Amino acid sequence: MPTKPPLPVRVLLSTTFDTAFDMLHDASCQLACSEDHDVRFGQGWVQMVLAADDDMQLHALREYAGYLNDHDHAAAACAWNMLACVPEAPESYAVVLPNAQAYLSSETLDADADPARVKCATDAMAIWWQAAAGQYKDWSGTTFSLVQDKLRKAHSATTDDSLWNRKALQAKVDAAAAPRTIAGPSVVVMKREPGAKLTPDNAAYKSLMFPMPLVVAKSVATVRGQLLAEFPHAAAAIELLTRDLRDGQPVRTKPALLVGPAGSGKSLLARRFAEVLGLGVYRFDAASSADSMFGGIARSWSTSMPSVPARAVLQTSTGNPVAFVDELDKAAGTSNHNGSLWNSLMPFLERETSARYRDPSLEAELDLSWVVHLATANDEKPLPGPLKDRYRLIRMPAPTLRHLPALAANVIAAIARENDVDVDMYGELQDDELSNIGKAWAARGYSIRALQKIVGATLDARDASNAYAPRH
Amino acid sequence: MAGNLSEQELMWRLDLMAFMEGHHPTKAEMKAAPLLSAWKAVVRWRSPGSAGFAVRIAGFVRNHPNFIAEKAITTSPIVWIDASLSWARSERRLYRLAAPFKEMADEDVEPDYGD
Repeated sequence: MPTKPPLPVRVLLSTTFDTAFDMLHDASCQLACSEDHDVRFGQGWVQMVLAADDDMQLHALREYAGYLNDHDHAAAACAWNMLACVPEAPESYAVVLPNAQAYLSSETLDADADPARVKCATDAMAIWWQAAAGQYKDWSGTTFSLVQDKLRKAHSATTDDSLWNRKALQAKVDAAAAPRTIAGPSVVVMKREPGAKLTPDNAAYKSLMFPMPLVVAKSVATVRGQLLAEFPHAAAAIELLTRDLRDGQPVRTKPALLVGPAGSGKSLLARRFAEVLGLGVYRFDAASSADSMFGGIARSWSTSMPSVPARAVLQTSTGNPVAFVDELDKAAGTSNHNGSLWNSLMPFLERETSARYRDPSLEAELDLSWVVHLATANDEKPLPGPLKDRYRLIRMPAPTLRHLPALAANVIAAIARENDVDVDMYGELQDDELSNIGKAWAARGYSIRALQKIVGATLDARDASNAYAPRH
Repeated sequence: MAGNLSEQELMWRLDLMAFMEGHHPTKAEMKAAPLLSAWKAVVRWRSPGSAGFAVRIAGFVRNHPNFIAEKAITTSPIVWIDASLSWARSERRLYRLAAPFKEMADEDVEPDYGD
């Protein structure tokens, strides 16, 4: 049994204000307090706090901290007070950090504590102290976004370092300790049915009977801006893809089918769309998967398996993950194969039927209407009309030379992340390099994949000439 | 390492363990503690040239064993502040906290008519 870090340390490990808030409210509701706790600080309070303006919000957070302190829950009180700290007001930290530091120090001395987790929390704490000393007065965000930003810079945009460990750790910590009450929107995916029993293989799906949180779109404009920076050639596609999103509402969109030539970045766009919104992705490769696996395999078969959307919900622990079908038009043999994938997709693509999908393996009715369905195809012509009608058809244009500078910069940033170095190390592409890349790219049909290879080769060539130049 | 712990440090560390568990100082301890008023918690380098920060409380103290009259002081580093801001523990001693220092907004300042 992993040890549960004290609440202030779990706040230090949180990546956003919202996750910290949810985690803390769940944990606080489990503490023994007076009987009026749920009346004063239950869901109504949560709604009030999230809707309140800044001053009201800080006041409410400190009030809850005081209440918990009166009931001798010092750790929870300290954690709530931490949420009421804002970089713009450095003095807000001074009365809070001694206690937070005490919990962190005790965790440092705890032999059972995970050293990686302690390191992450210590790194974060250093930023909290700097904020307290007034070093980030002009930061308009929360301490959490500040910490993310500073640590990201410190680790020079690596994909596999502390930041990601922090995310993984946060998930681990929350999974180990979180009870199943959720602040914010949620959906119960599996209805309790008398007499229904899960097989031992499917025991993990029991968690679908509890509320699953729904990922909320924070700022749609930011999402669009981010995607547009990465896919400058696909403005119209991005507009269509994000059309159903609303600020502050759970992500729910009409199923989307991205159609475009090979290498135009369809799959990448689908993946980045999910990542930028913070949605989990479950990928299903149409070309290499057998039969009707998408819809689930009945219990009477030896390889019984729940449907892809149900697996996606379980794997991501959210009610609205992305179920991503790549190359929907690709035949992997007989037309019968595709026929059955297409048929089994149908019920998931309509809200009414997906809200009451009877899973053949779980033998239960599931509400999968929140799952986001994205698919790609090189060509929509082979798809049957009824299936096409259920998707929003989004054309993904091939990029042109005009987009080369922006796309090449993205590729370099990705290479820098992969190699764990600062992007500045590569500098800007020179004009002659760009024109060479452009020629090679044109010859290979303007595909994103080809561009990745060409830019990679250009940088390698540069390295080689630099390495040999000083030699005599 | 424990052998090098000064008595003063041992005392605050023991107190800290109790505070972290949700215990508060006893009535007798509170009664004996000096009272800080018009106080403000400030974040400073722990010592000149050191890497870490520490919180200290600046304010006017009464009932302090070292001073007879009310005196403006800055405490040694604070190791714990009660979440309701009614007391604080420095590395040396416990303090009761009265009302914090309140920066006056312009409209709070009464014009002085000289009477």
